[in-house]
Amino acid sequence: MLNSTSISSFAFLIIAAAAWYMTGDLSKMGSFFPRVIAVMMGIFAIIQIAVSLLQKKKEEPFSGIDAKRVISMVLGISLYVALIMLIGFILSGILFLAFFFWYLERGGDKSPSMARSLILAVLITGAFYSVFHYIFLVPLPVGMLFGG
Amino acid sequence: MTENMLVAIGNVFDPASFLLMTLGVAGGIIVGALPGLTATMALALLVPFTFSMNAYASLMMLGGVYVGAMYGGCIAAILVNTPGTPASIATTFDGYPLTKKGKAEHALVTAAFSSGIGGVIGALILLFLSPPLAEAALKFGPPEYFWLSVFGLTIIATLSTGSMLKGLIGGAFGLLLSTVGISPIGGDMRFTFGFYQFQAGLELIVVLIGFFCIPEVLAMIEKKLGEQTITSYKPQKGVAKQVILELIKKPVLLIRSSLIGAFVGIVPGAGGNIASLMAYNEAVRFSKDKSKFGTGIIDGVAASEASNNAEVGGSLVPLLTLGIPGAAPAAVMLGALMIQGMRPGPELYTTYGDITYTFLFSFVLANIIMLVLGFYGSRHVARVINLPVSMLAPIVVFLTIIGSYAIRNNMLDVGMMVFFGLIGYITKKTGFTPGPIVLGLILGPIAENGLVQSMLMGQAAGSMFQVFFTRPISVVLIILCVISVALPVISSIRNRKGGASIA
Repeated sequence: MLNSTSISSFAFLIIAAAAWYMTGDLSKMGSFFPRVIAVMMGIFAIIQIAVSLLQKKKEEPFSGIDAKRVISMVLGISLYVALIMLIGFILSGILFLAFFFWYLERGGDKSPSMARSLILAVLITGAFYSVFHYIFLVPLPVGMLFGG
Repeated sequence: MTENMLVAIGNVFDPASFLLMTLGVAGGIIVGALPGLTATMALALLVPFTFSMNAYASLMMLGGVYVGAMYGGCIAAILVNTPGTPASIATTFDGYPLTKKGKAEHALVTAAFSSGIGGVIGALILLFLSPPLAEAALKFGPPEYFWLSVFGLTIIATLSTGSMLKGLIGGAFGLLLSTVGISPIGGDMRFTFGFYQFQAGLELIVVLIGFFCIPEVLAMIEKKLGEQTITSYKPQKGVAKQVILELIKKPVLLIRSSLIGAFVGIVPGAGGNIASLMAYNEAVRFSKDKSKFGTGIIDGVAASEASNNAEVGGSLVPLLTLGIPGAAPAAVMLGALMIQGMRPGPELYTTYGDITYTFLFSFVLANIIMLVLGFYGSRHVARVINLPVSMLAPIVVFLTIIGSYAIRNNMLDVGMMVFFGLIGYITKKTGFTPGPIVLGLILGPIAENGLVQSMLMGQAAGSMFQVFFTRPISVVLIILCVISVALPVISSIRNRKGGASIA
């Protein structure tokens, strides 16, 4: 029976095979180490697949988790990164923080307040922007829409 | 050396650096006190912020955070029975029962005092043991470095919780990640997928932030946390004096636990949790009244806290001398050194002697500051434990994004951080913990250079065997590798037999 261990080990086996294939055109010295590692990884992965198939252990690594919150956060982070490039660090930071302060507070003891979330988000983003921009002199992205 | 030491003493008391270090200790205590936020995460998040600071200030601040976070873990362990950091696991055994008895103040004072003692002993061991060890590293050639990296990789046995095989796969994956970029010998372009940014390899800090921070954030929000309640306690007059006098009468307990912590730290991969459990175990073994442990006595808290803070200094010994991180937070410290253009090894004590000794002295000082802040601040920090996840998780994500961008002002790094973060979350869920992957990533370049250069030496000498297996230091390292692999296996067999006999 396939379980999460055998599936992830199979993914590692594919990575090992891809690494072997991709280093085919390199010089002997350049390809030696990655190929040794790819072979080792492949062998370990095959053993792990065999062990997990023989053990027939039922695994539910994602059971009991609030999938909606996790997926929202993953999508939120991805969107946040995309937004930084588009509208810059300040606006995207405020949007991300305000939304997730509000979203994650839902279902808690206190009723979520969008206004409070927004104020906090503005304060935090502003503080970090000031520290990076004026003290560390790190230019943060302004976004393509604003000429960045 | 003396000149470097004198410069270092002056640097340590530079007002700006001193202030940053104190802030680092305070910040570390707060982060350490928050369950779910580890010392590794705190350091990984802070490293990019220190990028534009001078090397002294940057390393002093990070050292302060490391020390503070290690201590901070005890506050949640004592007050809510949840270790703030994994290293405080043994503190819960007696710390929380003390709180339940209404003696939280006793536990907090014990933790602050013994953490300070342990931390200073660990820092002194780091100060005096690392320079001679670094000098010994001068005798290392490519074969020795190869075996050293293999020795470092044997830690996977300890790092991989649950399955050694999964740890080995993770370690191999990390080694493979380390080969991204231009090969050290041959100059081939490997796994860059057309991105010139990957030519110099993956940015270590970016990968570390991804692997250590994003999975933690997702773990934080995946379950609704139950209400954590801090058992209320009223500060009692005279408790501090009474507890300290009692602890001073137990020098053997404090010194033994500190030495256990420092030496467990030196053994790469063992970590603060193992140090605190071992010290607690020894405290029980040597105690005249073993039955009192676990019911709420200060000896248990003292043993655990002295050892996990001593472990901090110990874990930096192999890092500074050989480039092998003794624990996960030390791996992040390696990234901080590299950002400052410093490479572990003998050069740290010669070319960069002033910076290194400043860091080492500041480490001793940071522990003393931690002791003071621990005494007066832990009751206030306790309030922070109730910071809701709804605030904490987005802020941590925000910091990971800004931090990974600031290293090279590169959005591709941010994308890579998120990518590795998601991989880290999924692999962690399926039992492939990030520790071995990161270890492989760090030791990969040392292993590859050592292996390929040794092979060239072997070709020139006409005997691979002679190059790899006959040099004295190599033989010692090979023996260490065998011991390192055999020990966990033997202890696991013993534990199983022990379990069977109890059953």
